[in-house]
Amino acid sequence: MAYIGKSIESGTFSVLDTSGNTYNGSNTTFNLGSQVGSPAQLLVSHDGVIQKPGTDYSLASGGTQITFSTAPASGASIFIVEISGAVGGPLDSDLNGSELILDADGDTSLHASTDDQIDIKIAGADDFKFSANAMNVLSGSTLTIDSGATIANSGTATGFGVALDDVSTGDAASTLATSAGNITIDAQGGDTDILFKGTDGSTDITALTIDMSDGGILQTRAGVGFPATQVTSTGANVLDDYEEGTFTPTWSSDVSVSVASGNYGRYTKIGNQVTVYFGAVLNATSPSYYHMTNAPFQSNIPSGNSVGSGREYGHTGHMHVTYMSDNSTTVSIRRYDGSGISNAYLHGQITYPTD
Amino acid sequence: MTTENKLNNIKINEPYKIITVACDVITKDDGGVITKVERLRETFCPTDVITNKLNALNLSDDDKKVITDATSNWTDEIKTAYTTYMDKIE
Repeated sequence: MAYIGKSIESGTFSVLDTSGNTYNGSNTTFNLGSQVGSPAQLLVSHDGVIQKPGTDYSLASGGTQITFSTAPASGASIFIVEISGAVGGPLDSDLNGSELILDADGDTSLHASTDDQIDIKIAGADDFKFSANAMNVLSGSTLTIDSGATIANSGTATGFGVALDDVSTGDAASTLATSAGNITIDAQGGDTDILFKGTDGSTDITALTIDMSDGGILQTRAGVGFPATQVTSTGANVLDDYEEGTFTPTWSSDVSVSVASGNYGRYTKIGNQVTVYFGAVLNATSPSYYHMTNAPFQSNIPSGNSVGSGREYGHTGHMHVTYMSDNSTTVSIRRYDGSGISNAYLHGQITYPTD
Repeated sequence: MTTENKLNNIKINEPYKIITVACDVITKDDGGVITKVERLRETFCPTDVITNKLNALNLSDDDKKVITDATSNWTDEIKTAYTTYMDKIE
């Protein structure tokens, strides 16, 4: 009975062919006719005496040659047996499609049952597959990047789209950026909107809703803001500014004038259009006109005027005309018929273009 | 509750260097939290004596200086041109 159990399928004890070597008492290094990994993988007999690996001989030329510590004498009888893969040496055998079983119960292995393909079988099932220029994590298997590890992409990564409802909440500032191309946010479900939410203190705020009803309605929670200093747009369909506020009118006339009471001014600016509302009770004696010289924005009315209206109140109720010329902050107020103003209780308004 | 006026922006309008000024009237509650910001404007023309208007804005000295410095654009030529322009307005 030469062998108990499964016969050796790969790796053998083989006597190396060293017939080409000439022992002359001076040469110490000889070809092995094979390549081995360590001196211990060789059984060397020198004139019937077993040589001690590492002491009596060593390997040279990457394991393809043997170097004796003492030059074998001329006519020495030397044979060398290679103890190869079957007992732990380099595996240099063709498995020819057979499995290389790795674990004790025989259900974890490497095999190449398909030509040009390496399969890693774990617990009885193929989990990973290598083929020419490709590696596959097979269905049911998971590729996990452990904490502290990194997966880097220096080439082209495709198919890494993540279902948006799988993205978990992060704990740091995040940036959504591209180096080229648009960023599209597309709510594809039926009757879905796009909402922008944040937190003010501890209160959740939905600041902006893009409501897809009626083809898309932009709805903000607290209004639309513009920069304090207008960034002027030349686009015909672009609203580039809005402002509302107050001012205190400054009055002049062709006669001495002063404010008695009730001096007020309000304005609203939408884009390049300003509407001013003003009024006062003025002290003046028979003025032909009044000027309110400090409208909040200078007019821009090339070759024209803006015209508004006003009235005396409390007494006669006469109508007035308000008007403004180009490059001006002065609003002129006269009676509709050009007659002298007898009552200095005024209200007026005018809308005019500005820059 | 406190109220503070701050200069927001200033514009010097060509050709007469009329200065239009925007201020923020900032209201804070007792905890110092801003509860309201309103816009107050004033316009300074080249023939104006600006002191009273400027003081009425209740700005800091630094903000006042920005406006005062802007009036340096009112050269005699500008004042004359503006006066001529105003005389044409009836």
